[in-house]
Amino acid sequence: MKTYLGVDVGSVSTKLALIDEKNNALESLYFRTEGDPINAIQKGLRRLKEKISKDIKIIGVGTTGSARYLAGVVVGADLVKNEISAHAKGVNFFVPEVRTVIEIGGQDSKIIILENRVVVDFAMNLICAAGTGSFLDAQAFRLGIPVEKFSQIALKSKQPTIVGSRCTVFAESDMIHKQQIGHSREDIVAGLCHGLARNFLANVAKGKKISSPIVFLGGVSENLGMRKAFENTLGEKVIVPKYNTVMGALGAALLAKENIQGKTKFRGWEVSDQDIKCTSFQCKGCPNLCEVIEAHIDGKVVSRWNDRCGKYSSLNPQ
Amino acid sequence: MEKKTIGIPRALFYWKEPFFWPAFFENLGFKILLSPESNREIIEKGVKMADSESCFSIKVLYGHILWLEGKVDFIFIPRLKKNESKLEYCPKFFALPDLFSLIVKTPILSPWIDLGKNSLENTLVKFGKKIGKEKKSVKEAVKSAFLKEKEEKLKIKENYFKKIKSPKRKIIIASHPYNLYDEYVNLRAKKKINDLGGEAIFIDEVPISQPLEDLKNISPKFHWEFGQEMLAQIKNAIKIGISGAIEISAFQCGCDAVLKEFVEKEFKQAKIPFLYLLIDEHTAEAGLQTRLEAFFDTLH
Amino acid sequence: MKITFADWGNYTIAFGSLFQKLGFEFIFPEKTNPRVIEEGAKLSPELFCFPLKVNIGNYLPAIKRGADTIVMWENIGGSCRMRYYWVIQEKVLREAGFKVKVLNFNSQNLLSKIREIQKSNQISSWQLLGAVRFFFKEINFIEKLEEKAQYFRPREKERGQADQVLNETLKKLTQTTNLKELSELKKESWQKFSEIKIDGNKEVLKVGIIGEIYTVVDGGVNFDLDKKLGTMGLNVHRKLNLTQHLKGGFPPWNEWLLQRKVNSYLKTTVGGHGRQAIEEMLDYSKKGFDGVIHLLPFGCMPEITVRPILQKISQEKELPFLSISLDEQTAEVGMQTRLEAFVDLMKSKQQLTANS
Repeated sequence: MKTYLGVDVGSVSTKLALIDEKNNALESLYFRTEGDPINAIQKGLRRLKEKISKDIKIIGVGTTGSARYLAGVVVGADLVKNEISAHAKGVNFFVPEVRTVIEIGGQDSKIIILENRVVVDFAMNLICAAGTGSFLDAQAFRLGIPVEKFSQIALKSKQPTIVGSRCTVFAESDMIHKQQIGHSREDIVAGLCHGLARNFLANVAKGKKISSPIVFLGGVSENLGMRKAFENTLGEKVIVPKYNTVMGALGAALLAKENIQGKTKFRGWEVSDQDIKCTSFQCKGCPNLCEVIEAHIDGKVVSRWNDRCGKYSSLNPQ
Repeated sequence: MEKKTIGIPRALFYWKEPFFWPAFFENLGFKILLSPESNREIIEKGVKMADSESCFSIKVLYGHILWLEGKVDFIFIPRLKKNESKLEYCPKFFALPDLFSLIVKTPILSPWIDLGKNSLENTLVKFGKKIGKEKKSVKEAVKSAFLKEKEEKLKIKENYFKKIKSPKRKIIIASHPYNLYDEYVNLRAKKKINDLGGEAIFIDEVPISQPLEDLKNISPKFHWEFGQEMLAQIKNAIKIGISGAIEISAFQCGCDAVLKEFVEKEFKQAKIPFLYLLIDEHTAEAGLQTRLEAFFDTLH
Repeated sequence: MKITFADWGNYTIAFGSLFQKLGFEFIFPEKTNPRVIEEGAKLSPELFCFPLKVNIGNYLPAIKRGADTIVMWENIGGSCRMRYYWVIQEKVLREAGFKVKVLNFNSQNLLSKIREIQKSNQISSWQLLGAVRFFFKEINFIEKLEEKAQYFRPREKERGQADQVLNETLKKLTQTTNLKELSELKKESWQKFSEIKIDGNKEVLKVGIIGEIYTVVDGGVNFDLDKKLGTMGLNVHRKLNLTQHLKGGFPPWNEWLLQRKVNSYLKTTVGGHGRQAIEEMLDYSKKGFDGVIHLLPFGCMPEITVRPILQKISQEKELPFLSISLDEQTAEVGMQTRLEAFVDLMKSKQQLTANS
């Protein structure tokens, strides 16, 4: 069977998805990047291969996510797409009537506005982690609650307390205080979810025309407490569709399928067993002093990037 | 004929002349609806609507104006440009009527106030014409509103002289009036200080006896209406013997980023303990209390 | 006295030659790069605007190389914080232990300061005039070069050629000392540009860059926005540049004309180039551009004030709009993602209009 692979490598999680020629999602994977994107990609490919039957052949690859270029080099991508367009593509296919997409991942969060299945506006958090999954992770750690349990705890709350949510540092002192004056754990957890929702709407989604149907994606959308917080704050129904955590990877696969010309650049399953390394050096050619990054596969330089002038990246095979 | 109602937001420019504007419009025969004291709902509305990088003070104003929307015949948002000494207001004040006309349907009343070019009386006479008020009645309204403003300011002054005789530890709070007098915004900093056994004095209560003389030696020459005055007031306050000083800035206040450098320097030179507080919608009472308590422990 | 100046994109070359021709020993500031930004931000007041922090970072290596005087323009007519740059920068550097002086020029002291310089550096009025003339010629040339590169980048058949010509020419420009050499360099570079093979039939989207002048002009702070967009296949336009800025007040009715154009949106100046941003956006909309990108330092007072107006114009005119705030915490990756998505958005909008 001929299939297309989508790989979405984010700072916190890595997602892989496989579609067939009729755009059916065959298989998907979601796991932590653990600070090592190359290893994560190799691990992902290994696991994917174990899950699928032998007759499956990959004839197109798309990568996305903040490590999309690196992923593209490692896997051998036919198409490298930013995660906003990739998510829009995926959600457009699986939830065609969608108007608003809220996507909250580990360190990024974004909002995408669509009209007639076309992206007309979008925004993304720039510097602050307060509107992202990392915020919940950090607070969960401090409360001693595994973040997976947030859902069930938050849903028990009847009166979410107000927790300052500008940044993880401020929230901490506020939260400790709330604990000390006797707010229940449920109310604090639900309060954190509401704080994150408010922060997202006030900063990332500022000025955007939010209209139904609203779709909620990303790792954080697994958390029912967050979904409820968005529904309460927006006063609208929020849909968490199937494939909510792997929509970017599916979008990348769909885009690869649409755009592929000729033979795929996919390096093959053996990528997961090769020795892949990235090293960097400082170019002293000009005062920019760029940190150029080099990718090596089995000791051979396969790509260089991160130079402003193109002295090294122009040598890459096109 | 039923009286028309003018809504005045209890935020930002309102606190610069809290007595003048309501008195002026009442004298002209309008009903006044002042938005309530800041509360969580108002602030949240403002934070939602204002540009996320604008200062907290502007966000608060957005909340108050949105509260007034639909409740009044007009909303009063003056265009404040320069004061009598040709010193500028914060440039974010310049465009307020334009920005709010994008989001509210209620007609906005916005006299163009550049007192370097036109006296307040002339400005308001011209403005009065637009809202169908005669020159004579406008002049009278201005006059009695001025009297009202003066009367209230006198009370503040008397209160100040009472305060400086107090045996308690006197703490100066330096900030803009819209931070000082809005208790929700400053998280009741004054009450917290007084509860800790201090005597809180707002910087704008400190008189400048001879403005020209007092302002002459201030450097740098600020082009803002509040810069030099505040530094002169700080110099005078230091003379009365204060135990500590606190500066409150609204998050993302661009002017304060400049001013802070010099305010801090004044107090540090005089070896007066100094605490800088940054406030916005996320500031938590608990954190403020902790910092104030710690600050009091450093005072001698 | 060894002087240095803030680095400001390619203009630094022209400022360097101006100060040298005025008889100063000029120490070139460090070009803006991530380390410069990091070091500058460390010393500067956290809440101050981003360009001031970058300036400090540019000065530090120059000070280590011997600079003892910093030249700064004090914008006494304007309403933005730039007029306090010189005081704050002097304070920050002194407090950090550097014995430097900031020489502040403003519209009131300009003539007397120039006379002082003429006296101390023994520069005749003739030499002064020559230096200023050369400066303006260089500025003009730099702007034209950047425009050429903006045109060729999306159209060149072999990627990187336009940038190669641009970089080579700029390098030669630093060695150019008189008008004759300058006009030869001009001829040479126009010739080289004309030799670049282009795809004439290629449909190229047009994007206008508006916002705060320092971030709009300097590739070091905006992560080479011109080049990024150019290699994604877009023709970049920037109306705002140093020449435009200096022309702003001459002739005096320019100011009145500008106000008339933006009057239905904003009735007053708000400092900086707030009004210009509105005027440029309206102009780009009229000229049928495919999108507008708004650049500003994080929290920039004039640009933040007009941003809601720009967003309104974007809605009214259905002109795609992307606003990017820059500061020491901005990550290039995030910017890249946003730009790519914005380009996709413009492309799909254009296809939609083409189909209907």
